[in-house]
Amino acid sequence: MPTLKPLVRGKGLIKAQVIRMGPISFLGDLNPETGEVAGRSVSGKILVVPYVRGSTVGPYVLWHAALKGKAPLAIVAKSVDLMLVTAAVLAGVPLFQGEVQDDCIEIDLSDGRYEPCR
Amino acid sequence: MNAIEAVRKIADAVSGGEVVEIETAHVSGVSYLTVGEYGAKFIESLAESGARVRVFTTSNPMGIDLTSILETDEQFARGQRRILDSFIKLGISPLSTCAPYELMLVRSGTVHAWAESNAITYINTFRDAWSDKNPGPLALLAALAGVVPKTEMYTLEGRRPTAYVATRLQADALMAGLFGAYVGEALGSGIPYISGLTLADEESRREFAASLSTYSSIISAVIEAVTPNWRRYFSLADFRDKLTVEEKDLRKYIKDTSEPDVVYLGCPHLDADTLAKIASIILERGPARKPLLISTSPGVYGLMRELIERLRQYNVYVFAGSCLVVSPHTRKYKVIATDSMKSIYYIPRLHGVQVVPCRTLECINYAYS
Repeated sequence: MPTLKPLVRGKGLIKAQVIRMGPISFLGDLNPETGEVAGRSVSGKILVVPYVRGSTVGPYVLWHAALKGKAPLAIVAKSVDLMLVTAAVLAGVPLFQGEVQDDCIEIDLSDGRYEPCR
Repeated sequence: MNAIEAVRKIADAVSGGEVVEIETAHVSGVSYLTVGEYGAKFIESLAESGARVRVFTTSNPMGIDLTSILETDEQFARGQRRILDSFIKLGISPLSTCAPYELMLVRSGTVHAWAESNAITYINTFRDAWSDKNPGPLALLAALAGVVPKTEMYTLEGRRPTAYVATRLQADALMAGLFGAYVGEALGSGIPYISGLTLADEESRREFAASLSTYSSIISAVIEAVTPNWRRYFSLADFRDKLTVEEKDLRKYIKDTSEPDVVYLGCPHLDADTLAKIASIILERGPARKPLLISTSPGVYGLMRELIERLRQYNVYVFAGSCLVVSPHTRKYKVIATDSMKSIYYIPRLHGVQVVPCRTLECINYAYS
């Protein structure tokens, strides 16, 4: 079973749609009121990005999206930095390191093991 | 959220769960302009939870200065006030300066959780006091927890120089900034060991640190014969890159641009010595034709209040607790002349205002032209 490296662990097994994007900045790209990034909703989905760029304000934006119930269910990034980890912890969004090619996966948020949706 | 739990979770992801105790913290992301409503709400919610800092903690410049020389609207002022009030509740000393090293003589080998890249780079380079580049919210959590994730920059191994930079440069403030930008862009990351660099004064040290960390992800340099324990770092070095920098390499940053309508000095915040030197030039030359704005720390402002008030009659406005990078006031200008490479990077990006680089004395000349 493919496994993503868990950096900020969550709980439970979830099945969710995967939204793949290029590098994003939480500040400016994520609308925390609607959970949209460039017109696509990431709320309740698994957001897959190569990395997150942008200012230290980023964590506050993701935190606000979580407060509004509009945060992604989990974030998967190829490379991570202190800012992305801080954002994930503040917002309580599970964070994994790696890549996902499937459009829908069933993932164990506690250990990062996943398989494509059946 | 419990700050210690949050810091431990972050440590789980970045440092194998290890944390290290800190002596001080310095929080960035203070201006209502940069943190916005979301940041203000987060900081308020922390303050309302009854959390208090465990170590001496200072804060970065706000979007409004202490004497209201920079004009902002009422809504902005209210937002800024909420952040400031929350900081006070949290036990943060709202020093509102990007140069907290000026009043904290952090010792070599001590551990700190600072945000604000110029300040981190300054203490790493000129004090050999240790800080990683902590995002503003992490510095805040670390202040409340008293510990920070023990990332590589908090280990001797992680502080080994990785690039040898040879130069023969006697740098004033602008040259120090140009040199920092050049080295930053050339290397991108790592820790440069720099041989042959003479920094003229305190302002040039500040400009070097600010510029290096603005134009790259570098947050520490070892300068031969300057950085405390530089010999030890040289013996530990693992040079993977080599770079030679000549004065002519730095000219690429100087371009012909429009005539400025205002002159700005003091990013990072100007020290007392440099402010006194500039004041003596102004008092001799008489009132400036264009406004000259100078930002400094509230500490220096208090120390030199009389002189600062006198300078206003010369069209020279010294203000404390803010700076043009983080204040919406900046948008009132079309073209700003400055000796600060950090301002040259951020002002066009954050405010859409043009900038002209100049040496400190040339900048002052612009104010008289």
